[in-house]
Amino acid sequence: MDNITENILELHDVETFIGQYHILFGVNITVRKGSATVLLGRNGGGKTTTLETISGLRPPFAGTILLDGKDIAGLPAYEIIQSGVGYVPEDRDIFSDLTIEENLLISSRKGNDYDKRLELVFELFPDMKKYFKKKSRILSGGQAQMLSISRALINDNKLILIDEPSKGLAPILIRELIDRINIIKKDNTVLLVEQNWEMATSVGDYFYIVQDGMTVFECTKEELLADDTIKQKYLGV
Amino acid sequence: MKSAMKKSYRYIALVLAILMIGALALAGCNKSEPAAGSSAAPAAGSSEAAEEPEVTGPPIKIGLLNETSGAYEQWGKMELQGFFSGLYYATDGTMAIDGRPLEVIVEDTTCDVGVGVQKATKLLEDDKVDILSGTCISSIALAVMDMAAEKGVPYVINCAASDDITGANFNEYTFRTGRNLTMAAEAGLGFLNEDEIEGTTWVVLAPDYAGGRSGGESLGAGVEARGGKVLDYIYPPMDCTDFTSYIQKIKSLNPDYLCAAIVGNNFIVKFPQQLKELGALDNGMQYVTSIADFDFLKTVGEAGIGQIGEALYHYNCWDTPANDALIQIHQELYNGEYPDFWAGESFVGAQAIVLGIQKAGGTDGQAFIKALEGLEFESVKGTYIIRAEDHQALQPMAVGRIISDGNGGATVEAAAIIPLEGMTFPVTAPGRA
Amino acid sequence: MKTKNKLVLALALLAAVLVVPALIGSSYIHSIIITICIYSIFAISYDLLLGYTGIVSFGHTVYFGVAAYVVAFTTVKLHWPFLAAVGMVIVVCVAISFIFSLVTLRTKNVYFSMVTMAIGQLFYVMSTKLYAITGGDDGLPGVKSIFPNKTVFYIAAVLILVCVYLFSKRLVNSPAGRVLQGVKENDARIGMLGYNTFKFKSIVIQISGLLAGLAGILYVNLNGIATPSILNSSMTLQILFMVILGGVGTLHGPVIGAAIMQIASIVLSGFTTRWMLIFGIGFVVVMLFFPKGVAGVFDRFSQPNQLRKE
Repeated sequence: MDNITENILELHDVETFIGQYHILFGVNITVRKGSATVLLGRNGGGKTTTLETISGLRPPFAGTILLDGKDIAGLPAYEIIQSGVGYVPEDRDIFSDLTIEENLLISSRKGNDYDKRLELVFELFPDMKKYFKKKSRILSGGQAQMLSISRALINDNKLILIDEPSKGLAPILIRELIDRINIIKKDNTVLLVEQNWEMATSVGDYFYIVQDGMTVFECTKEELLADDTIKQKYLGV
Repeated sequence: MKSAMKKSYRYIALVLAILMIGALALAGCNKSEPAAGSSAAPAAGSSEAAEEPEVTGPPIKIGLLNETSGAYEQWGKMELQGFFSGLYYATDGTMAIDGRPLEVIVEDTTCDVGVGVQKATKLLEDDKVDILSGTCISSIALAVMDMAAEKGVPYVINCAASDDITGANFNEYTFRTGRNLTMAAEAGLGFLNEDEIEGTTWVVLAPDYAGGRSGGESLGAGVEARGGKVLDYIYPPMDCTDFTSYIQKIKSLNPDYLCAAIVGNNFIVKFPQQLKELGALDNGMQYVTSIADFDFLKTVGEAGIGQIGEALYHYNCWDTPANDALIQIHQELYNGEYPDFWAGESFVGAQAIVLGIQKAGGTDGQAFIKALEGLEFESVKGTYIIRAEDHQALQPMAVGRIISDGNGGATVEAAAIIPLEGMTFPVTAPGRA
Repeated sequence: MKTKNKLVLALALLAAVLVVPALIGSSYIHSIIITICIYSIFAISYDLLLGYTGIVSFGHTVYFGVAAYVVAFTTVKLHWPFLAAVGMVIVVCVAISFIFSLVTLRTKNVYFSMVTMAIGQLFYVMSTKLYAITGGDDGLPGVKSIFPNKTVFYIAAVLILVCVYLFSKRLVNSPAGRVLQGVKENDARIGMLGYNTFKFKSIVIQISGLLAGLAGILYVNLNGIATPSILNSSMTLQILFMVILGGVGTLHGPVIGAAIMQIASIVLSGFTTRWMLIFGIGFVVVMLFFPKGVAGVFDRFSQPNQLRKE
């Protein structure tokens, strides 16, 4: 079992600027393979910026980011993505002019077993099969979210980053999504930002509280559910 | 309900737009004559007209490329009107040569090279004209002359002035009766004898674009060739409106002569005005510049009185039978208008075409070429000789002086006439010297 | 309209365009068709940038004009054979597209457009000032056409246009083409899918530049002269008009736009000297009522079942 890293992602003292603003002051995260790690915290704490830094959308100012042991800090986004990272942004951001099929085709990278992955996508999100040839602008908010996740899923990624998956979804859809993510996380590790307590605790195995640009607390699901004060202290609920 | 209302507004707007376009089109229709593509000679009704001549042969087709629309349409109008006046004169009003009626096909170049080439294609290959003429724009002329030569059709250029037409780009089918830029520059200085220029100091000014710069350089070269010294070349940008800094520089240089190759309203009007205002002329510095068309005289007005320079053509400068005829015919054909600028050149071109056909006894290309080479004839400015080596018409040139016309406007008198012998520019056509 | 019927219609149209003018036998009409083909190729190259990749360049005519000047200079002044001149055009167009690619890297949107316009005008000014090389305002005359007559030329021009069209169609429908359309919609997002957008944009800029250069080669063959007017920004704007008028992002739209502009200017200038004014008004009217261009008019009729979610 040598050379198989337990941690698919490690962030050490990562700092990021947006323009002249120092947003991340020192973020330390470990994402274990086959699990779902959740970033919690109040708005404006730096959670989305953390995901953007990992994916390469924003270059880090300092620190190391190890993806499966390889330092990816400072690499251009497309190289990081090609190394096996999928990114589902907060605003869905699908190509409305293209059909669902075209959206998936365009996301499928070289060397990918497209047909096999497509089967998985259809299993998890049957609506994708239903509207496969239709232009994606006709999709509802929930379906667009599914497409966005499917795009990250169409490749057998090492890690999938999801920013607020439950945002704008009706409760019943949130519950369906919880089930899906719990399936996905096993083969394709997931790191997500989530404000919705139910989703976060149903899906997450490990938690980091990100506040004022730093990781201030980490714990497991059991620890989080056992101690009410964590929720009050950091999330102000 | 709301969107249905909006829809009907849209359709009203559409209908109004169509009506407006239609009205404009109709208004435009009655504009200049002849409309492009027509083959009419202008309405006769002139006392010069002889009886209807007997038709003894097929019509002679003359193609005329013309800037009927576009930035240079004023010039196109001048060339057209002078050309028809010349045909009239040379055929004694019959518009026929040796019993063959003249058919002139006018095509609009719209001042664009691509369109000019298309229209030339039409004239040369579809209409199969016997002789081609026209265009004021040198790049069109340069492109078309190659085409005409390929088809073996003689091409007589009246106005386009680039030296290369009878120089580097020469071919035997092309003739030019108008003057070229070197001749213009020479004439600009020709009014001064060699001794007068020798030892004098000059400043040359021109707008900063290719034509201005080359015009300025020709002038400077002419000055230095005559023993003068050019102190400086000044090239303000074409859209310059405030020449103060340039005029200050000129004043500080204090030359004997300030020579300008000018184009554009600012240079024509504002520059001389500002020269006067800043007292630049108070030290006896003489201002020398080209004198252009009626528009130029109108714009420069009082500010221009006293200016001296090459005058391509102004009807008041010439006292020849042909010039009198040009004025008379032009006024009869075109509502009393005086011939302007280019008309004085296209008249000559038309005349040369007629003479050439008469002398060649027909429209055969080679015969026409032989007929024109070395041809000497009397026209607007006196004696013209078409130089056999490069097909450029040698001709007298006028140095004009702007004077008051007695009505608050400006006109031109001849300050000096440089005779034909005074034109000494070299043959630059490759292999023809 | 069914695809099969569309194909039959297209072939019939092509046959008509190839055969009928030859029968009419008017060189003037042949030269008009050649001109339409030249501007169509030029406009298609522009649509690849504008309609498919979302790149708004105001310097595109640089390729067209420089290609014409390169052919003129090398064949007339240096007496190179035509194929060598074409080779030089390819080299120069690739070099110029390299410059434009770098600009896309450094600037975005409005700034990009302004910089491209500046580059375009730089070339224009060079063509007027470097008159030892370029002939200045008068241009570089003396180019001999490689086609023996206008009939052969127009047939060749139509066939070349068809090839360019098919090639471009193939390009935009390929996986790479889809990526380009993604770039147009959201540049950053495409990067997030793992695509090196700079590489893709560079490639489409190069292809588009070479096609515009091809149009320039044909232009100088037809007119025999290269003049500064083809490097002026007004030329780029004309092409922009053609693309938008015909229908941006369609490939056949630019061809329609080029044809309409050529024919309208000829027909209108035959009636009145104020034709440019009328054309301008007409253009505005068309854009008000058919914002998708002329091609958009036909689209509406052929797809009544299109789902609309506006």
